[in-house]
Amino acid sequence: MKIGELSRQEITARLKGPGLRWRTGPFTIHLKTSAPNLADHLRVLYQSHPLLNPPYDEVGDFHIHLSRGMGVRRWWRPKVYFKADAPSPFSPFPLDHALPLLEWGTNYCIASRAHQYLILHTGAVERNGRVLLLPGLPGSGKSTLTAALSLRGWRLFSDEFALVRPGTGRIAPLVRPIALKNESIAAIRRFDSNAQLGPEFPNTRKGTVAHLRPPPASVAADQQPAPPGWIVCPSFERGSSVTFEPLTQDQGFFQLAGNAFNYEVQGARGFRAVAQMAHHCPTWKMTFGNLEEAIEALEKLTDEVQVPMKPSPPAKADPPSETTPPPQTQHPPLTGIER
Amino acid sequence: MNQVIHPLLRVLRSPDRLLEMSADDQDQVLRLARRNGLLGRLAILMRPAQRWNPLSEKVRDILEGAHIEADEHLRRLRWEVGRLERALHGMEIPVVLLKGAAFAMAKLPAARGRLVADVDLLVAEAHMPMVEQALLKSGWAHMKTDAYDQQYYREWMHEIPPLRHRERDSEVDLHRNILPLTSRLSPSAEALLSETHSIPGGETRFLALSPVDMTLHAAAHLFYDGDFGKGLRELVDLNDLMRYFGRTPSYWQALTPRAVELELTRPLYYALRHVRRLFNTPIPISVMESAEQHGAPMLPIRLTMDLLIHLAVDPNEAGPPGWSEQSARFLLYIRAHWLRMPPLMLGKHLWRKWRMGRQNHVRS
Repeated sequence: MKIGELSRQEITARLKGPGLRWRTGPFTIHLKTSAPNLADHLRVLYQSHPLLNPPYDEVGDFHIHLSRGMGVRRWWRPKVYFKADAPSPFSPFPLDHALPLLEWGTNYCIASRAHQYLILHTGAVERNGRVLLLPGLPGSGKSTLTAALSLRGWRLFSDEFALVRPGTGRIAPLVRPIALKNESIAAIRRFDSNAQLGPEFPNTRKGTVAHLRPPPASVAADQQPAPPGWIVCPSFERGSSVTFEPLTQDQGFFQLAGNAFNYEVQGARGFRAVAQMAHHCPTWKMTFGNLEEAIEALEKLTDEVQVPMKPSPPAKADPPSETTPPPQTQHPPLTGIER
Repeated sequence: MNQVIHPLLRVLRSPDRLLEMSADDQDQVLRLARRNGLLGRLAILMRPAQRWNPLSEKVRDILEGAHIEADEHLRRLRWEVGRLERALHGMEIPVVLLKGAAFAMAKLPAARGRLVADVDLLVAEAHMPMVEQALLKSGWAHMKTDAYDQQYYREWMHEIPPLRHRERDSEVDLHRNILPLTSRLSPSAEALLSETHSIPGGETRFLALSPVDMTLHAAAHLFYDGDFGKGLRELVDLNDLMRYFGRTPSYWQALTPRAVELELTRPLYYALRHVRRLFNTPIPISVMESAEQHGAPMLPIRLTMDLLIHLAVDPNEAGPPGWSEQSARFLLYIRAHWLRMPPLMLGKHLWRKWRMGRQNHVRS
């Protein structure tokens, strides 16, 4: 059963009572709150997410409580607080900003606890069985680009969290609403008028925020991990045409390690996982000024640049042999991308 | 006291129990372990294959995440201790590691899965200025710059205000004793420093307190420093210390006499009483009796403390702490301050703290 199949009353009753539990990627979230309007937002934005019903046969990953302020704060400039079994780093939000608080709070829980994964701060979308990673600082356009790619048929993994399993190197999807900020909101509305967006929340810490509902097909496939394929560091520049600049393996390494939530926590395991990826995945910097052009270029790139399905371990200093082909340690040459 | 043993306590006493529990009970265990800083410990307890393999993948993932986090804390701690040794290089004075840092460097069972953050050091009072200067030169800086706090710490407290490193944000607490100078109990710092041990393994030249003193310090810290938010974790530590060091009879024989010498009989009494209650720690009857004889308070106080500690520390329901838990902790906090300073000073201190708290609230 999916969250979208419940009525608003049913969701509200669960939120106020025993809690609403659903699955998103590898995690289950159990939410309790009496904040009004959240039921409506969840029905839209988590529409296709599988609902879990008691009796539960599994523990919950994140038990979240969005509680209302006590005393005067319950009615006068009412606040909502984020709690999840540990001291919260968040100051309270205004009560009507419960949804952004839920989303950011969940991000915080994942980034600070799910250390079984190396968690990269990148967009992640899948095509042809491989994941395109989009590392970038806030403002680079990675969330907007990821959102646009997901609206054009690429399988959405996440706009912010690439969950890498260090043992296998595969990336786990974490399909959740995409938080768009400020100009990105209008950009996505222009890009796809059918895009399902939640309400706009002005005056948050990051400006105006609105959430894009993730494609149902991506949600349905969110239990299927995939190996990484390409690393593209986007950089939005108004008016620019699409250009690619290949990066070396060490530059790729720093793009990944420097854009990770828990690289240091991983220790040596994180180093090895990032080195593997930087070694096998060709890396570029991409400047773009237009979403359609960027997507077209990325489709061409991912069609042309084949990454071997079973990456061989990094070549040791063996002398080359006549009979065996040289191992694939270099990035395949680009054709026809530069403009 | 209720007879039903909370699932978390059952698991801490006997980790295999986790495998038999329903998903709901496992959920309670994991959530309360996390809230009490014990999830890393639980991960380590469940690591042996016969316990690990039958667990569900989700539980294993949650535990693994906590284990990795705890490992990283340990790594950072070792680094910090090394940096501190560098900062104090050349000073031929005894420097003693306290609490979590000592457990970690000595690789004691109490260190398993601990999220150690700060390093606590004990030095002789005469050496404090020199050590403080050396730390300030090496990149640590004072955090609390409020003049009142500085005076409060330096005149009355057993430690100077915490120092934080400018680049790494790590904290050092520099102690000249283990309890505030104004408190009713004043263990002698010289006595502690005269019984220190080197830490086996050769990794650090810093010292540790003797096993008995380490135990008494842990007891004094919990029952007299006032922060019962970490109470369960600290009682787990005490249980670990007593089980580990208690393998030698001389430890038990020395415990009460040393508590008498250091005037720490009251915290020892509470510590023994509550670790045995929660964890069935095998404390020799003679030790319980002598601790009670020397350290037990009058019956009304004993009963009140039993109730307060039960409310403040015992695991209850997962989720935000309830009113009774918060109230109990608050009362214990007041009690700790009551014990550490004369009433008039306490009144002035709390008044100032309340006013400063209000100013900060309005500002933010």
